[in-house]
Amino acid sequence: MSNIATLMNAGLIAAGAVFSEADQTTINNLSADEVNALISVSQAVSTDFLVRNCGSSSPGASPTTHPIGIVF
Amino acid sequence: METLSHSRRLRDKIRVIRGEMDAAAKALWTHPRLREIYPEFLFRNHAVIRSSVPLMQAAAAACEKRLASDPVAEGMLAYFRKHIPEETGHDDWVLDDLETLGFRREDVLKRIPPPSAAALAGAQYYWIRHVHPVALLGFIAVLEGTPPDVAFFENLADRIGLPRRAFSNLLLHGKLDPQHRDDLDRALDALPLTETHHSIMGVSAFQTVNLLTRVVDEAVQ
Repeated sequence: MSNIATLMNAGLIAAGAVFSEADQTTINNLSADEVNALISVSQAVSTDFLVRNCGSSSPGASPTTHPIGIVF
Repeated sequence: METLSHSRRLRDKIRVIRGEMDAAAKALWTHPRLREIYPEFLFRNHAVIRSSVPLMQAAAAACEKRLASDPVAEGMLAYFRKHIPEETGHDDWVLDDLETLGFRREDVLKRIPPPSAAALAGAQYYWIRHVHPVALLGFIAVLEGTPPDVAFFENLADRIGLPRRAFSNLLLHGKLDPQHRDDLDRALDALPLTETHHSIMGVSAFQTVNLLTRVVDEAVQ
């Protein structure tokens, strides 16, 4: 089963979510430990925000209008 | 097939899971009561970044113990030795911002931090001490990966009627973090990282995004 399918079954990827080919590769190349970590902390996998707000989930796209604000 | 750099692999992973964190950021910065919430956000901000330098010191100490046996230890140690002085005192900037808003630093330091901030830092101590200090690079990649936009926060301060001086931490990091982000990418790309190292960094980054989102969400509630 692909990582995307596993994460969908865990409820962390919304049914019908669309990812770019690059993002599909990124997600499907995650290690088993990384996938288990996402499931463990219930971390949703979503580039929706990027796509809705920047028009792209391509590398380098970032929602710079709303940075998290907690900086190192 | 393109072979991705170490830094690109890590950044791509963070990108695909940061949707909720970005939504939390938007909810904060567009909140109708942001002027009232901002001091609480600063308190939580301080709770997290007061651990930045101690975490890097812990990671550096772990690298020193591994120098003879671990091929990535030397490069990581060089990165931390450079970055620790660069970050020293940045938590004071947040206390300065709170004092600008009328909150005495002595009172801020007496408050018990939220468990979410303790968990965020505590997880890194666990990874550093019990797994591998490379985990901290995943944490740093999240926190320094999206430098604050200086114009955005200057305009925001003006919009909500707070002095720009109360945003000094964000404004200063807006100027510094692009370089810090690039420095981390260069350091990552020079390290002989294995797939195990990538997994550890990924797990650490995912946990960081998850807990950072919680820290910010709680400020808005």
